[in-house]
Amino acid sequence: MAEAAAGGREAFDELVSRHQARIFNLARALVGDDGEADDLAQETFIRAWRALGRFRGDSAFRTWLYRVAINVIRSHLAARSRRRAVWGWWRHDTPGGMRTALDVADATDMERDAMRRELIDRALAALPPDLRMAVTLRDVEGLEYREIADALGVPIGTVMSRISRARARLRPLLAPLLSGATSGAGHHD
Amino acid sequence: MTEHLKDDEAAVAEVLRSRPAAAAPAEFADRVAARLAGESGWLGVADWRWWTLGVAPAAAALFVVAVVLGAGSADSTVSLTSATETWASGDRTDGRPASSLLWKADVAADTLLLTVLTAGPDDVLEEASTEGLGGVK
Repeated sequence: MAEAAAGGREAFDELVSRHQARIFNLARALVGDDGEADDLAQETFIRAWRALGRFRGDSAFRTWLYRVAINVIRSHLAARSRRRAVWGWWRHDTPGGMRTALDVADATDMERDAMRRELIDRALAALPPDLRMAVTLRDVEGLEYREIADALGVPIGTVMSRISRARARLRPLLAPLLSGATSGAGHHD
Repeated sequence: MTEHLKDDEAAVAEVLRSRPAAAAPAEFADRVAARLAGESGWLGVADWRWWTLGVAPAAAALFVVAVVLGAGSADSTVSLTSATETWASGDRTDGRPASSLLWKADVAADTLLLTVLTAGPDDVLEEASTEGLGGVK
């Protein structure tokens, strides 16, 4: 870490390799699109590289990197929201479209995983960004409340409130999955 | 009722924890490395932020030097007010700064070049200078 902060490219490349999966997964869960998630994860590491000299080490590098990612994704979601406010009148997403796909008997495990992820990401997409980020960092990424508060720049009480409200809103959206909650894979580590 | 809500929350959290992680695309790290290499190579030099922020100290130093040197030679500069008044005074070329030839369309190219190369900042045109002789005084 110190070597990367001092400008060591090889050390930073190692950090990218170590954290790329969790940052990409976070972006995928928050924006619901592989291509956008790819771009945002790349942008996160580019900005992290530029700002590495300002990393003071008063939080874990992982938490700091999540904060960078959240800022990148938040800006992206705000811009996308503005675009959709203008152009969204002709675009209609179909959030319930994947439900029946989960029941397809001849789907492979990989396909089932993709479908399950897609359904969860679509449910997350129905939340306001603040709630979505809080609950994703907690339940999808497995961060502690203190780390989430640090990444989002809000008090822990606000984090807990947002997570609680997010789960309440997700309850009906995830109803098709609630009976068999433990059938999929989980965190990275 | 509270217990029921807690159960619901726990169930939702369990579903979210079971979300299959999305794997980063192939060669993701290589693409990041390529972008970083571009940043620190010649593409980085083309970054306008580098120019605006990185060159700011040099620009400030040059400004200070210009102010210090300018204060010492203030008497030798041409007064903008007097030059403007002279130019606005009609067709007379006599008394105009030599640099005013730059704005005259009917001056021969070699006359203009010679005047610009030889005239000082305080030199003014003689009447004959616009006739092609390039005289300054």
